[in-house]
Amino acid sequence: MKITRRNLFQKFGLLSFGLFLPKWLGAFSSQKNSPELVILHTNDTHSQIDPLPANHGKYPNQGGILARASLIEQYREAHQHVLLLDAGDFFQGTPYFNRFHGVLEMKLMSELGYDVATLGNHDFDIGIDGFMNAQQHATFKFVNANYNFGQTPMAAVVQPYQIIEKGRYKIGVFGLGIDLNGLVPQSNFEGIGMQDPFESAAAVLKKLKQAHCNLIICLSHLGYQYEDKTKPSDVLLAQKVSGIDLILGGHTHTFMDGPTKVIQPDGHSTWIHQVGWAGVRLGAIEVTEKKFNFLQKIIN
Amino acid sequence: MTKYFWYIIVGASHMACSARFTPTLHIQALTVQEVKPVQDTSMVHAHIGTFLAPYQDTLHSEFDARIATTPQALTVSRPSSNLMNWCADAVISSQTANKRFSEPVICLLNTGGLRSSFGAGNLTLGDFYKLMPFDNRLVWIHLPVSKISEIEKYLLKSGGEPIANCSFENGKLQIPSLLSSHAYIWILTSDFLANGGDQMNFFLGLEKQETNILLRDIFIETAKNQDVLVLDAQPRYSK
Repeated sequence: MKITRRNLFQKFGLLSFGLFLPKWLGAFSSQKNSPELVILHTNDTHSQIDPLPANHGKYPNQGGILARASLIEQYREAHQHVLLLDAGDFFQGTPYFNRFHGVLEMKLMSELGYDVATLGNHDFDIGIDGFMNAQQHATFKFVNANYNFGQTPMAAVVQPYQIIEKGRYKIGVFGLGIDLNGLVPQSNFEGIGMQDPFESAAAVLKKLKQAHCNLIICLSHLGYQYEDKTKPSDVLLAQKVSGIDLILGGHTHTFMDGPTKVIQPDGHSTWIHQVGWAGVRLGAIEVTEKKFNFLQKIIN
Repeated sequence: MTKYFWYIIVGASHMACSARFTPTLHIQALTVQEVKPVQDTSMVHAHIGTFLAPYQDTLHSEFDARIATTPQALTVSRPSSNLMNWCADAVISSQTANKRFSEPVICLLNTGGLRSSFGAGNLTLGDFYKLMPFDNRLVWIHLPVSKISEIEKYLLKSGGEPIANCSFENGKLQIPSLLSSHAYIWILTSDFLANGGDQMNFFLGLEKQETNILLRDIFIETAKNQDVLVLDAQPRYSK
């Protein structure tokens, strides 16, 4: 057969396809439009274990750990790769916290199969010792990249980031926390230093890229945005630090009508999402490959 | 029921092993309530429900007792609201009723410290824990009159905090009992704020008298005594 330029491209394309077929089989088989990965997320659940009461002014009967568990389970049954994340302030807000000192929240989040959580200011409401006692019941990981835990026992249980592999995704998850000064009594975080969240994020991003992560998520408790535009926030983070794919936020209890997209000068897009508070919503992000574009890139 | 649903297409190249590919992010937010018809039969619902039951029983037995009734919905909302007023009034009345002071006594709390609003009806012990979950204690602060301007600056920026025995009008704190002869006033607040919490730095370094009285206990006792809450919805803040 005469080898033409056109044939060569066809053969090379088929060969490439065959060589990489096993690795990509999951993406090519059945469920064309099914996401390869589902990222579920909460923030500021504030010990709201029961649904909000029937006479609640804004969200009557909404939320509750049982409904959340059912929804998460539905995603797990429908999809192979599910990541469950929390952006902090899982403590404080109902008598469950006063009575059981955070132990119940840790047990329930573990039962629900959370993978990673970052820390909010209220997660220091029972101090370092209180947190350490409660976290013994957690089977998930804690991340924060801008607190220097120094010699405190929290240094052993809170890491700057975690890397999780789900299918073809190598996901870097790191955490950023708000400056605790003025928000939390000093004695509750004695020995923990506050660092610039943007510098900390840039340093972590470098490590996650060196580790070849192909999806980078920031669990942020900085807050969505402030009137004082210079105050560290999710929007400012997305504008100042390039390379984050997804900022899952908390602290400002922001109910968003949709995610916010920020494009850096280098063209990188960062998406910001936050789901209010009290566990009345669960964020669900479906990550899917665009098959057509993918194949074109291989042939190239 | 409102359903929140949207799709967004993202184009961004990522490195996967040795191959570049373009992920698409579909982002949606769901109300948890939407799954309720399904949840009752799910295995996970039963499992978590069984796990949770003893904790719920303990909580209900300890926190469901009725404390008082509110004739109207109680809201925490800047610049001024009935629950913010009620809390500040409760602090003042618990400390000053039937007593005479040579200097004005006002109350300044923080809106962020009042953590819940309530519908009309009965209020339980648990509701007061939701309102004031923190173990904040009452502090008396002796504040020089010359520092009142710092509070005014703060209130102007914050947009409203719970206050009593005073009002904030046109950027100025109006204290009816303040005379030109007064060099100091007393401010009733929480230990959190007295130590500069919520950036109330004007309290730092001042003479203060700490107490072991929990703000939450003040609210509970006041509510018990009133039985039906005495509410004042009159705004106490205008810029």
